[in-house]
Formats: sequence, C-alpha cells, structure tokens
Amino acid sequence: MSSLLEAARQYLSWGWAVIPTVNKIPCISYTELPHFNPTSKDCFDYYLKQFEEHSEAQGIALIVNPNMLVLDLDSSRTEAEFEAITKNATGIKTARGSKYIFVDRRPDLIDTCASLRDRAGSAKFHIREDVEIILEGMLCELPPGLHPSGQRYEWINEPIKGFVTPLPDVLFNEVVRYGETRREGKNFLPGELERLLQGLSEGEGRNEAAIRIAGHLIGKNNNWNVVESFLKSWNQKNNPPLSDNELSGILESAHRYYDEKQEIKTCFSTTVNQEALNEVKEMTEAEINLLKTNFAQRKLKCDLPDDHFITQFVKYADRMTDGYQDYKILGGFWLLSSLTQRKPYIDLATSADGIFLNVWTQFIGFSSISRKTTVIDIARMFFAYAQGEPLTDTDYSLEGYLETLAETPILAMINDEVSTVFQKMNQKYNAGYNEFECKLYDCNSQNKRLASGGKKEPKVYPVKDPYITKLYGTTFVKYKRSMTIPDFDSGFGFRFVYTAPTYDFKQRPPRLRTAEDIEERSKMEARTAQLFELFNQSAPFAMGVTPEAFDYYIKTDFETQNEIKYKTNQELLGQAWSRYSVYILKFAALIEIGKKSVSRVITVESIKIATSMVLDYFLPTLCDVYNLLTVDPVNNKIDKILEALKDFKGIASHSVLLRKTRLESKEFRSLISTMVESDQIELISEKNPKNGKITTYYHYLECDEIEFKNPSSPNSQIPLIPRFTDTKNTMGISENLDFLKESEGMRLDTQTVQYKKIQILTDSRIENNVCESGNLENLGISVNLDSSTNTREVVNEYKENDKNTPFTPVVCPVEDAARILDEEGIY
Amino acid sequence: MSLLFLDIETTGLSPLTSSLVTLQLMTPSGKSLIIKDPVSLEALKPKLENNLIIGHNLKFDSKFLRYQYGITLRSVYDTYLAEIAISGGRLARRKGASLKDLVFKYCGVQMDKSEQCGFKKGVALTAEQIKYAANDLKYLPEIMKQQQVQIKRLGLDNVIGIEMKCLPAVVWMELSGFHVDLNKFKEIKAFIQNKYYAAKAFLQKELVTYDKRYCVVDRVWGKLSVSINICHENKPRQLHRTR
Repeated sequence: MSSLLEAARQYLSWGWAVIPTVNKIPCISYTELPHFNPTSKDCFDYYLKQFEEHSEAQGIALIVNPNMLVLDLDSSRTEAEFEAITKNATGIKTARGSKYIFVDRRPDLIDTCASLRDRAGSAKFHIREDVEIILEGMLCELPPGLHPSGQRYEWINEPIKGFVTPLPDVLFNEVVRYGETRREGKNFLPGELERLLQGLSEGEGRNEAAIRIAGHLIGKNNNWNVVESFLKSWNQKNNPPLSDNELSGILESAHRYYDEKQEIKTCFSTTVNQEALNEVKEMTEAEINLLKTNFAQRKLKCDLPDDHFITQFVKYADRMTDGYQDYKILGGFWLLSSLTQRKPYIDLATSADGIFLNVWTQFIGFSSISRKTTVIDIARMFFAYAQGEPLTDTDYSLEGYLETLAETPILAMINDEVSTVFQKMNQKYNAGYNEFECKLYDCNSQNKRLASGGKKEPKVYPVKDPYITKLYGTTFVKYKRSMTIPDFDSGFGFRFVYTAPTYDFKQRPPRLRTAEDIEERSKMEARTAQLFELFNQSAPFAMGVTPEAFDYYIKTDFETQNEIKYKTNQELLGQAWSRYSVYILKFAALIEIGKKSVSRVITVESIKIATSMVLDYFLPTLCDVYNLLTVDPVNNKIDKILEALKDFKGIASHSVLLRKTRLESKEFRSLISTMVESDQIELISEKNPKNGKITTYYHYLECDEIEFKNPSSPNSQIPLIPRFTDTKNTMGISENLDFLKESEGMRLDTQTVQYKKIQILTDSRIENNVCESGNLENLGISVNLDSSTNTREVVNEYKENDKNTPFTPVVCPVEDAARILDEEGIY
Repeated sequence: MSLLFLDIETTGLSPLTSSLVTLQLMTPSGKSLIIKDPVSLEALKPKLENNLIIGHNLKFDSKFLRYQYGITLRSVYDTYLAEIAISGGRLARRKGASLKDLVFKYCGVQMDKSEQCGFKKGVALTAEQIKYAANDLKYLPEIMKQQQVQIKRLGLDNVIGIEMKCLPAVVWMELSGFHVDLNKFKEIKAFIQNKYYAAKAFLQKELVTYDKRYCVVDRVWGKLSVSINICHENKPRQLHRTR
C-alpha cells in the first residue's frame, strides 16, 4: 500500500488525477469526485486521502485528463506496426500483454474528441479492430497496481514529470477519420457491428460494445423490451458473458437514454409526423428566458417634433405619471380630435359629408398598474379647461344619450371604466344601440325614433350634425365580459382604435406637485384653449392632401387590401380595414393640425407616420382584442393551454403547464400534439448542463398575430422616435427638453420591428438576438440589418463554413492577405 | 463596415521592447490568414482601421499595432472587456476571463495554450503553431454571440458601448505617457531626500544615546551607526516600545 501511496503522490504532483481500485473497480464512487484541479492543494489532498483511507486498494487508476489520449494497442500485429511508437512512447504493459500508450491530445483533435463524447456516455472507442482509444474521464490502470491475475502493471517508458509523447500522424489520421464516420451518424465502422454481434472475449471491450449496441437499437426506434432481450441473448455469446451486475448497470444507463428519447417522442401521438419531431429546438436556459421577454412587445410609436401638440401632451403626461406611452399618445390624439369640433374634414368623394376627424379610442390594460385612468384624467382635465365646463363620465341609457345628443350633437365622451356602459348597451331595452352608434361615428345627421311600448306616441330625437369622440378605458377581463362578437359584427367594435399594452415598464413612485408642474400645465392649458377657440370660431373647412400623400395613401390601401385577401382571417381584417384605412387619413390630418402652426394640408410625412401607426400597431392590436373575445378557456382546452402559456409570458415547461392547466396527462399530450401540428406552439428542449436532464418547453408562436407590409422603404422614412426619459423629481422640464433634443432616439423603425418579429418566429433566438441587442450600434457602428454583413449572418456563415470545410489557416504575406480580404468584400 | 477577428503572437509583453511575430485574421466566412514577421502592414491598414475588429484583450494587440505599425484600431469589440462587464467587474484583474476560460465557458472546449510561448521571430512556424494561432480565433464568433445574449439580458448595451469606445483612447494614453517637469521633479526629490537624511540622522543619534546595544562602530571609517535597518517600518516602532 505504501508503494501505491508513493506512486499516487508522484502522479498527483504531475497533475494526473488518480484513485485507488480493487480488481479494476474504483474504491470511491465516480460521482463523488471533485473536479480535478492539479494546482489546488485541497484537491491534491483529497485524492491522496483516498489512498490513505482505502487500505484495501490493490490498484491505482488514472482519470484520463482532457489533454491526454490513451491508446490500447491489443495484438502483437499492432505492436509490430506501431513499433516506432511503442519503442519510445510513454506507456505501460498490461497483464494481458497489451499496451497502453499515453499520448498528448493535439489541439486540432478537440472537436473530434468533443463530438465523440457527445454521442455516447462511454468514452472508449475501437478506432480499429485492434486499437482502442480512451478519452477524457475514463479510468486507466497504472503501475504499480495489481491486475486481478496477480501480475503488476509496468511502465515501458515512464513519463518525465507527467509529459507524454505526442500522438503520431498515422494515428492522428485514424482518429480523425473515425470521428468523421461517427459524426455522419454511422455508429459502426464497416463490418464492425457484425463482428461485435458474434460476441467478444474478455478485454475486447464487452462493456463498451453492449452500450453501443443498445444505443444503436434505441436509435432505430426499437421498443425497450426488444432492446433488453436482445442484449441479454447477445451477452450469452460473449466469452465469458458479462456478469449480471455489469449487464444490469449497462441496461440501466441505456434505459435512461431510452427514456430521454421517449420523453420528447411521447409529446406526440402516433399521428404526428416525423418532421414535427425533428423540429424540437435545443436551447439553453438563457435563451429560453430571452423568449419570455420577447413576448408582447408591441409599442405604439409616433415621432413628432418637440413643439407638436401630441409631443407636448405626451411630455406632460409623462412628467405627471408613469404608465404606458401608448395611452399617452392615443390620449393626445383623442384630445386633439375633440378640440377640432367637426370643423376640419377630408372631402373624400366616396363619403357623403366628408370624413371628420373624430377618434374613438379604447384603452385596455391591467388594473391600477397600467395607469389608464390617470392618463384619461389628464386628457379630461385639459378638455374641460378648454371648453370651460367639467367633463363627466358618460353612462347613458339610449334614451338619455339621445336627449343629450339632441341638445349637444358635438360631444366628447369619456369613461375610465366603460364595461358597465357596454353591458347596458347589450340589454334588450337598448336594442339597436350599437347600430345607432355606428351611424354617429360617421357623423351623419339622423332622426332616431324610440319605441314607446304602445302607451304613448313614439319619441323622435333629431340629431343634427353629430360629432362624437370617445376615450374609454377598461381591463382585459371586464372588456371580455362586456363585449361580444356580435358587437363587432355590427361594426361597433371596429370603429375603435385600441391600445392594449402588456410589456413591462419602469414604474415610478408618486411625488408631490411642484411649481414647474403647474407652469407646464398652464402652458398646455393655454395651447388647448387656443385650439378650442380657433376651431370653435372657424367655419367647417376641407383639409387639403398633397398629391404625393394621396398617392401614398392609395398605394397603402391597395396593397393592404391585396394582402388581406390571402390572410386566414380575411373577413375580420376586411371589416377592420374599411374603418382603419380611414383612420390613416384621420390621424394624418390630426398630425397636421397639431403642428405648432396649424396646417390644413396633409403631407406625405404625416401620412407615413399615420400609416405606420395603423398598420404596425392598431390593426394587429385590434386582431388581438378580437381574439381575446373568441378565446374560450373554460370550454376549449386548447384555449386553456394557450391562456396558461400567455400567463407564463409565452413559454413554460411541460410540468409547469400541466400543473397550471390541470388537465389529464394523456389528454394534455394529445392537445399539445394538435397544437404543434397546427403551428400554434413549438417545442423546445433544454439540457441541464449539470445533470444532463432534458426539460421540454412549449413556446406560444403568436400565430394569430397579423403582420402587414408597410409600403415605406426599408430604410424607413419615419424619423427617429424620441425616447422620453423618466422624469425625476430633481430633473427640471428644461433639462428634460435638452435631453430630448440631444437624444438620438431609437434606431429601430417599424419595418425593423416587423422584420425582427418574423425572425423571432423563424430563427434561432440566440442568433436573432445578436441583431436585436443593438450593441454594435451602440459602438457607433451602424449595422444594416438588410445588408449582407450583419453579425447574425456573419456568424451563421461562419458556422456553416466551419461545418462544411475543415479549419485550414493560410500563412501568407501581407499583400496576399489584403487581396484575400478584398475578395471577401472587406475593404 | 465588416467584421474581422484578430489576434497576434509576440515575443514578449511590452510593445516597446518586444516584436510582433504573427498577425492572425479571420474573415466572417471563416477564412483564416496568418501573416508571419510582417515588416509593414500598410496594405492592411485601411482594413484594420475601417472595420469592426473583434478579439480577446484587444488593448494588447492595439498597442503593438499602433506603436510598431502606426495602425489604430478604431472600432473594436473586445471579448475580454465584455466578459468583465458581464461579470459585474468581478473578473477585473482576476483569473477567469482569459480566452481559455471563455472558450471553456461558452464552447465547452478545453484549449491547449502550450504553444503560446514558442513563437520566435525569423523562425518558421511549425504545423502545431499554425493550428494554435488559428485556433485562438476559431471560438471568437461563438463567444461574441453568447456574450451578446448576456449583454442584452443584463441590459449592458450602453456600458459595453462605452467600454469599447474607450479602448482606443486608453491605448493612446498608455503609449503616450504624460508630461513630467523634470526640473521640478528633481527639486522635489532633493527636498524630500534632505528631510529623509535629517530624520535618519536624528533617529540614529537618539538610538545610540538611549541604547548602546544598537551602537556599532564602522570598522573602516570609525563612525557610529546603528546595527538595525531604521528604514524598516516595524523596527523603529519596536525600539520605541523597548525604550
């Protein structure tokens, strides 16, 4: 034992991790071993202590380190062939007469070794019939250990201070060729399987052969019973057969591999095609977390000059409260729309009286935290100031509504919790409310007659030249309870523009009002009152449209209609577009009116911004809102799963989702299978790097989301969007303004956002993210996503190249290098 | 602007005294070029100055290229700096952010760095050295890609941006040094030295007066001196306690 201890001390000093063995079996469990760090004294002491504690040890085994390969040369024929190697090589002679040669693993074998290890648990491979290669992590007996036969292992050539001889070129080529064969998916060399199946003798690698045969059978989709019985009968052909213990150990590890394969496979019923199975994406935990943040990121963006009415309103609202920017922008448009009071209109030939600029807006958001009411109240405050009387929440019955309209046909309606109004509208006594509202939206005069129930004369309410704007707010749940699909069928729902943000935003604590706040408020009040007076005293006038702006509008309308024809929810989109195309004109006109000096002509710039708002934000949001009504998680189990997935930000693991939905496992799997086939979700697998356990995740693909092409050029005519900073107490508005002037704004235009969304659905997340992180842009380098030199493509290209061609560096003079770079397009 | 992966091998660590042995470049398509013992890099200057250079610890490479070849790497992405930023500064001036560490962390591969010191000027490269040189670049795209994910996740875009923009300036400063008024410097030095000698003489005198054990006579000059090193920070304190 003392000789073993001495030897162990020497090996450890060389940086070789060694453990005590008895009859070639380690005395300590392999899993208990710490990661070997030769420079760490603790590690050194730990290994040495094992020898002191296990006095029964007869052998000493090396855990092959990453920079080393061990070759087991079996027969004398090999020895003769590699005589030159064995003569001077560092190696040992085994009891059976074979030789273990320790060689240095060349750096260019890193990939080969890594891929060999990945494919199987074992790290011992016969690269030829008589040459076995032993890789990192495997055990190898060392002198002066005792073989079970009683003979001692001996050094042929002892390494000097742990340095081993280099791997000869002949063997290097053999190893590389073997690695390539394995990488191509061929588990066996030609004729190798046949040889193994005939049975092996002791020392010919029965263990490794058993694992490989089991893996091969499992890979061929064999049932576990088949694999087990085959291995047992094969074992009988071995001389001697592996002991029951050994065989059951192998079967156990093979069964784990079988289970891993089954876990993914059982997510699909037998009807799922093989393609779907192949689509399981492997991702790391970080990538999966990334998917979560990428969900529901749609933001309303509207870049306008600093002195624009909308910008001023947003700035004030931003100063006073946190909450979604989307609400603030849309609240600003509602205020502007209300201020115009049916004076400006767009004289489209198709409309009877022209198109007036009334905007119906609906805020949907989570209760309290999204700050709907706060923004609504700010808009209400300014309008009340402008018109000189308070603006109360609207909660009319149809009769009351008609009475009000008969008196004041120009009405700004506001309600921060509109669900009760909607519920009332759907009552029987209010039949026809929706249809009436639709006509009011079009600003057509009408006489509405209310049935009296047969007791009195029916009442007739004359509504002359109505102009109604609406600013409504509610929560998702209440909206779903109060609105129905028929409300959309009547066209009522399509007359609203919606904002329903769910992304995370930075919340700010409340603060006390400052003198600056009051100053800003009075400035905004003055401007609002000025506009109100201007339109109040002005006669109705038609907004002009520049020819370019009108061409642009026609082009957008035409292309979107064509696109809608090929969408799956064509009817819904068709109905929506008939209203939303008009909204483009309305928003464009409001943008012109909100300018510092009110403009009466719609320019191409404003129509482009309006188009972008409608196509990139309002139309997709409308579809989301409509889908919200169609989803029925109580009765429809697929909806239930999708809703649960949304709760987890679009991605959840198998067990978590199963628990959340409370469905039966069998039923759940069958539903998942259907959803995968219909591309509603995708499967992602994550391998835990510590224990190798595979977890399956389901990712909601947002397949119902609508994406429209924006006819704007890819390089975006839309100016940069100013970033509104969080207004801190210490920061005056003037500083804030300075910041806004200096800020470059976000470079992501709406086209880029669309492009990225598509990428998110189609590409690996990690690569997509290289583009998205935008840090290259932060470096001051503008990387054009459409050009061929963006990082993602570069990395892709590089990876492809790496897979297909070996890594061959070229040594060349400077001029040649410059020429090669020129050829590659690097100037 | 395109990307270029860059690394150099040198005979030592200082750009002032050591020489550049090889310059390795890798193109985005995976082509790897090794330039041995370059006399001038004029032909490559625009390519290195006008493209985004990606490498590990590019300050080192930048200093060599700037001092010896007059090339300034303007746009850089340094995987070393990025890793330190990702670690929240924990890896600054510590082990754990070397290329070997990053290759293992992000690619799961153990790099062999044994060839690192074998590069000699004027001596042809061996096959192993060529492979080693190219290998240093091989894993950079993967490292960069994975770092991007971390940077995005941690919201470090701006920090990384600032770090990378600073690098050329730091290189310039380290190579340029700073102006020193030598006359004034000598003046201050003389003033401090005088104070030092006066204090030393006083201490010696005091020690000899109070404790004869420390008194020795110089054999050659016959002068009195103390037998201990009074410049040592602990000795005078010990003496003071003894007294």
